Amino acid sequence: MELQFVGISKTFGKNPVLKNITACLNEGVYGFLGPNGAGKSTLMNILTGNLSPTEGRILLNGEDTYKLGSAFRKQLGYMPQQQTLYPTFTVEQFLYYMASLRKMRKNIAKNRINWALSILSLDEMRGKPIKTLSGGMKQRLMLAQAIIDDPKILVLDEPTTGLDPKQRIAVRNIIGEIALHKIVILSTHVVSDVEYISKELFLFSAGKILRKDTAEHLESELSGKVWEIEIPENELHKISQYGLLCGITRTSGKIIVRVLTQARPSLSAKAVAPTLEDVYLNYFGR
Amino acid sequence: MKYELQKVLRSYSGIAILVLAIFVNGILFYSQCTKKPDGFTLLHIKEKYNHLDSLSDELKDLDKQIEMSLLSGNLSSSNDLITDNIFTERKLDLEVVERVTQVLEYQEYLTEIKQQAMLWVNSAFIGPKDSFSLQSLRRSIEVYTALEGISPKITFSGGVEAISNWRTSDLFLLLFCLLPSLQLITQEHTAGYKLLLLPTANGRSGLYLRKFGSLVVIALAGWILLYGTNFFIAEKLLGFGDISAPVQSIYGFHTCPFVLTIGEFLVFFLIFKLVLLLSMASFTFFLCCISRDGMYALVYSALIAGVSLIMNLSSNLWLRSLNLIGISDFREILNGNFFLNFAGIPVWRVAFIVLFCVACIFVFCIGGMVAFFHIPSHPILRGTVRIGIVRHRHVNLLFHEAHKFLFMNHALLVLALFVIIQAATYLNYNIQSDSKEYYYRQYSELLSGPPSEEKYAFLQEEKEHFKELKEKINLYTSSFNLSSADAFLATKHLSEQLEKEQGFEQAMSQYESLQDEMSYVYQSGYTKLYGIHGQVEALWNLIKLFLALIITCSGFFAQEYEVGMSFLFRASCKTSTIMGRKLLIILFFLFPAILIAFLPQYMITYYSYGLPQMSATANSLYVFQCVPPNLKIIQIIVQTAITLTLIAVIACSLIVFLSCKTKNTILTLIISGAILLFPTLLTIMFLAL
Repeated sequence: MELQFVGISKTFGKNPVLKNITACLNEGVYGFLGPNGAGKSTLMNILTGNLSPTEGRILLNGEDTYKLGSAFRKQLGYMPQQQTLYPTFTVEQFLYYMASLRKMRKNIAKNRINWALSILSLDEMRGKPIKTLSGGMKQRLMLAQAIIDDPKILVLDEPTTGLDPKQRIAVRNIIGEIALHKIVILSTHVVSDVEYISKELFLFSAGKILRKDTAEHLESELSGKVWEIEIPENELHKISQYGLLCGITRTSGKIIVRVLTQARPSLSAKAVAPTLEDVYLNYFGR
Repeated sequence: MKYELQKVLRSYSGIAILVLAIFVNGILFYSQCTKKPDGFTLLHIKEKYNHLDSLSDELKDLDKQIEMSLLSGNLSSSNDLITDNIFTERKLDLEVVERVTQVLEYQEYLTEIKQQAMLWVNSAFIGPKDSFSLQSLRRSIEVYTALEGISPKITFSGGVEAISNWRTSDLFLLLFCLLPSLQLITQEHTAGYKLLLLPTANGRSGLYLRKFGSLVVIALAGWILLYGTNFFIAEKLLGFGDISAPVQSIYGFHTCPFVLTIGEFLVFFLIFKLVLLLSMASFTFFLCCISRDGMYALVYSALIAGVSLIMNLSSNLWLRSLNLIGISDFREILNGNFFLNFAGIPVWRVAFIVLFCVACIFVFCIGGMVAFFHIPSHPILRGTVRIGIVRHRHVNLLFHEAHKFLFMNHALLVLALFVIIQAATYLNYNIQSDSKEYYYRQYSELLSGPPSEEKYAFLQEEKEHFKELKEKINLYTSSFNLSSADAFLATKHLSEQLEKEQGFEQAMSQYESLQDEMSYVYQSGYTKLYGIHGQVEALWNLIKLFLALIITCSGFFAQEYEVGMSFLFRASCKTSTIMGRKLLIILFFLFPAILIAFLPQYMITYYSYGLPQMSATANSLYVFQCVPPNLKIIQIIVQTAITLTLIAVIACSLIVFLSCKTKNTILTLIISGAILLFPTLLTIMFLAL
């Protein structure tokens, strides 16, 4: 399976939001990283048909998704950023409603809904009205509706927002498990969400794809450029002179500062293994 | 479709409104069936139909009784009467005679009208051979010829009359279309549900058709319940008569050009209303699809209602036929003009209207579908950034709230539109300025104030003068044996002086009716304001004001709950402060809106007729005959202004209350619309009747 973005551009009035996006995606998890307003959600909305591009097209196995219409949407699972849920529907009723919109047969829908509720720990809530759910539960329900039809293309816009660390890890693992033989596009600000499960990362900035690579390779590019220095507290304000500040850790009266810079900032500085957060800050932190 | 239906059926307030609509329709229809416009009801007529044989004897008896009553000065009463008195009874009998005569003389009517049509066809005035007028006349003759075999029966079909005259159900039916459309389309559109639904396999035409199907199911339920109620009440109360009789047997339907039985007519009526219902459903659905939110939907609906009203008042048959109000007038469609001029060819009006409705169903359904797919639901997707005129670098809460109200809730736009609508209405206002009015005003200026001997003498003098003028005219025409044209020329100078007479008579009769403590007041302006037409006009202005308030205020409070700002307000302990500011801003909006709504009517009347002698007692005027004698005209005007302001304040409070309680803009729009607009519209309909 191959999903191609061919020269996608989008403008709102005179304001360009996406500029000539071209990319090719196969089975696997793809992380979309970038600051707010970089164009990630717009590209997702174009893929899901909520927006039409000003220019360009999207191809699935060489066929235009616009022409494929319902046949394309049948293979699509989408979890939007907004919690758009009917407050008076029960959890189960909402999922059956979404199953009917996904043209699922009743017996299949029943099994898949049971499965989705179970893996997302929503079993006990199935009879409860949606308005009584917490933010985290609603977020899991949104994920459940996206995966009930076992879609070939799964588009997840900020799926872990509002989840506690335990739920976040659980959701991340679920995405990792179900991603086999699927194209999963995951947009997030939380880099740890995509760090371990993504096949490739797309770094977006000002409507363009800045970089496209694996997490490992992106991290390796920063090898030898990330340093940790132990400094006294009163010298903290001087640290920006060394380079880009990536983190500060306090341990028993000492301060350990993580800095991203080409040259060794001081003799006491130790080179450390770069993380994806360092990569993010390297591209978007200045 | 089950889920879409559930969305509507689970909105208890929405369902309550629809159930209430059915009950109100039933009550109003019952009161219409038992209404006594001339002192008797259709039930009385029904009773008379049971004794048609004795009707002529009864009429003779009544005439005798009336004669005796007039001679004796006492109103005699008889136990045989089914109405309040002998005069009403006679009127009732005459009405029944007229109904029966209409049936008996149907063939004569047909022959006469056919002959008239043939006369026109053979005359030279009708135009060229292929003109629409000539073609339509020829086809009318064919229609009349086809009707020749029909012989209407004497049967009382009061139920059919009542049903075909009753148009309020159409108004309620509109509610059955608009309410689910708002819930299924606009509400979901505003809440951003489309973002989730459109990417699904069934999320496009499948979802749209399910939503439309649900709307049709609910509208059909409304159609069954509303017309079912009407049919049940009409049948039980009045009956349909002999349903195998030709439709021309129904009173007022003798001009109907179709060969139908009463039973077939009823079926046709229901089918016609069904087509109307479906076209209304697709139209409201389309409106909601193209509207960004509920307020836009309401504005569009109000604009279309206004345009329909204007079209319905037009002299052009096309415009009169093809608008929402005209289409729903089934009685007029069947009995009025047969043909429409379609590029010089006469086409059956009723068939064209049905085709038009069917075409509307498809066009609006497809148009709605296109809009449903293409109008972005979420503000993020619209990609527009709203920038106010002022840069909001201040911390004045009142100004921030004012900005929200004026720009986000479109209050400024609504106010501007309101001014334009009122200006358009009153700048072209039709002022009555005939010679009668002119001379009545002149006499009124002379007679104004308390009655006096001098004024009485003057009136007598004028009366004598007119008498002399008339005698002179008679003398001219009789003595000189002049032809009518010559007599006209000879007496022209005298006739011109007589033009004053009508105005004088009005002034004279008003003067003569004055009692103690009363003053003579030129009353045209006051009649214009407080007469039936003035009241109807004031009610229309009230509807415009209600609409402005509903559009602007429904979301002002609810939006804070919808976007979750209420949590921030509570956290900052500012809820009551913000509520206070909001109420203050609404008050600032309300008073100019009241002035825009009602002041033009008073201003135009003041400049056209004047409102003189406001300190005179109010019962000096015909329109205030029944008010207590100590009240002055100015007091009535002030009381009216206070009442209208109070109504506006109460309406505004209701909208604010609903907005806070429902926490939902669409629901507030629907409920406040049902509570404020519908009763006012019904009052207008009753006053107009």
